[in-house]
Amino acid sequence: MQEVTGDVIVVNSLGMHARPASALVQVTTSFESNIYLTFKGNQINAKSIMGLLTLGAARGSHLIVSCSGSDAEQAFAAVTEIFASGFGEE
Amino acid sequence: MERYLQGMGISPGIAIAPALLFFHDRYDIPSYAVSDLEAELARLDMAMQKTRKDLEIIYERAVQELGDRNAAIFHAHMMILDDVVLREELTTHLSEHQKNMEHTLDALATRYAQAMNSVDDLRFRERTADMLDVIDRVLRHLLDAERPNLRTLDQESIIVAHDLTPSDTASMDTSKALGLIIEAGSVTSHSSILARALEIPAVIGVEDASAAVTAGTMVIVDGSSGRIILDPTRETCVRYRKAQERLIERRAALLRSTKGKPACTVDGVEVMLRANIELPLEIEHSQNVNAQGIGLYRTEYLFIDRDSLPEEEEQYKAYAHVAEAIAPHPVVLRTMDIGGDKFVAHLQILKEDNPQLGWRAVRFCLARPDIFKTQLRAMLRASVHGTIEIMFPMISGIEELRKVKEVVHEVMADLDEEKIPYNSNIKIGSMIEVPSAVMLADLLAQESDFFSIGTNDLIQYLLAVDRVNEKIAHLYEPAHPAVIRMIHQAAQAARVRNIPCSICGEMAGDALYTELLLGLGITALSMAPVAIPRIREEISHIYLGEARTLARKALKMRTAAEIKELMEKRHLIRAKKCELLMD
Repeated sequence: MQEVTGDVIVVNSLGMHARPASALVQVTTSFESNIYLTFKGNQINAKSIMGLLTLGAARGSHLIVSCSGSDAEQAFAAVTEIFASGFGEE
Repeated sequence: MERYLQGMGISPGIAIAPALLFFHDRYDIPSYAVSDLEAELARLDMAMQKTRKDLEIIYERAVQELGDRNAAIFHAHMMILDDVVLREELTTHLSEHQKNMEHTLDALATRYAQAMNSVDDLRFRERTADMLDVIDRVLRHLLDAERPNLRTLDQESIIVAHDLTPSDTASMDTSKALGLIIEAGSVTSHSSILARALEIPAVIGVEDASAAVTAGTMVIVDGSSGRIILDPTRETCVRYRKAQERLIERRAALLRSTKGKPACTVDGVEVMLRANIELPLEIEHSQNVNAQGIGLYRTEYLFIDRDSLPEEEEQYKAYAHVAEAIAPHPVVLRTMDIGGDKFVAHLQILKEDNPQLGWRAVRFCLARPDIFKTQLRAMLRASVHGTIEIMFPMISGIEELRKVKEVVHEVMADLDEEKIPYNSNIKIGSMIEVPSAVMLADLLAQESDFFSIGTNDLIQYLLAVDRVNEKIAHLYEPAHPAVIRMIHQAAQAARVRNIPCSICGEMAGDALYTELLLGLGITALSMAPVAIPRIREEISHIYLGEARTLARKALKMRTAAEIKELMEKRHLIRAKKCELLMD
């Protein structure tokens, strides 16, 4: 059981809207670990598109990612990467 | 007693049928205690499965009829069905409260909606509607309550709705939905675009429709004038039916008699008749009526009603598709003409007091070169698939034209560097719709490959009349002497530089003005496909020489009433000649 926590920033100009949210869900659901995002005191499951949409994280938002489980490190790396890539958007 | 409603006609034609009120009103959610939780979960699974099937069917149909872009939204819907947390929370909520699944689902959906609505950002709030649309489908399957849909209509109907969601319109039975009355709506809303594309008579902006119309009320919709008649008398019905029959017969006869023929005046001058289109399915409509190309391809549909910007590839495919289908005829792609209130949900744009005079079209594009360049790249790349021309909306002066052309050249340089092929001689035109552009038409003509006059906006800006404002809508007057002079000035400036000058506003499709427009020096007309046969026939009765004399006479007139009277007289003479010929 591993636990990894760290910060990510929303860099794409449109923020965490539906398309990035669904892209993120596709990544998070491929891991066994539990993955949570915390923003403005709200913690949500990063595997839930509905949860992600309730965050309302605009560009520049800092979020805390916490992964726990057997593949927590890989999960954390993957989540950090997709945030850094701006979900493939500009 | 006959009653009347007035809205804005956005898709021409007459429809007469009983009203069908299409509102997703709330139904009662039953609430009762349950003990067999497994059974409730099984009911949920079943309902979700059925919902998935619904969505798959809608998706398939949407892809075929409306293109990938309009269909993409249903992917997001399916993802909501798959949401692991939703499922988990439903299970938890169920075991804690031991209430039936309808109650459980509704309670959770309400909670989510509240959370989404509390986010101070419009684009997230719009997702709430999507989420609730999916939940509504699941709830109805649970309740075995048929979701009101327009897929199978028992009888021919006029649909009265507040607005139509993409899933409503994508599944609509277009053989029985004869007309649309929409309470909300703007000209560029999803339902408007669709009504035009499907050629269903439609009136939007009828705010009080649901209060005034009861189900089954006989309704006449006149999609040209925006007039709606409720409980028409027999006389009115007969009159409109005749008008409708005439319209239908005439359309069919015209199509037969003009198909395959160029639009030629009696003295042998060919006039280019092109189509204004927006959706992929309209390509076929324009081919059916022998359009000599697309004079206005509105690219807005790629941008509205979605939460992310279309990528270059998606745009490229759409543009290449239309170019290929229409080749060897040209396709004039207009860069996005939105902004202000109409712009996509994913860009936060402040509400403007006066969006018509606001941050839109090229003004928006020049401020957001990232979005603009993506569109231009897609257009240029598509230019090798046919004859593409690019037109810029809302050009108000030389600087603006130079700036947008500079961006085009930057994009071309990028493509050169990446060795991506495009047509380097692509024609670049100015849309003439801001009065200042007419005043500077001589200068703009030196730096444009063509002009296209957007009469709708030109008239609105020139006369300072908002057509949607019913108190002043009557002041919107195409026959206003100032309008006639402006068209003349733009056409003459184009002629001096030997570039084509077309009209792509509604005036182009109104036979009343055809002779005058040709006389003023217009060489091409672009209109809704459905209007083309009628205008083609009209042109076949016009002598260009006479048209020029008429234009000179009209240019000297002082009032719109005089000009209109003259147009009507000429039009009547031609109509009589035409009848004589037919006899």
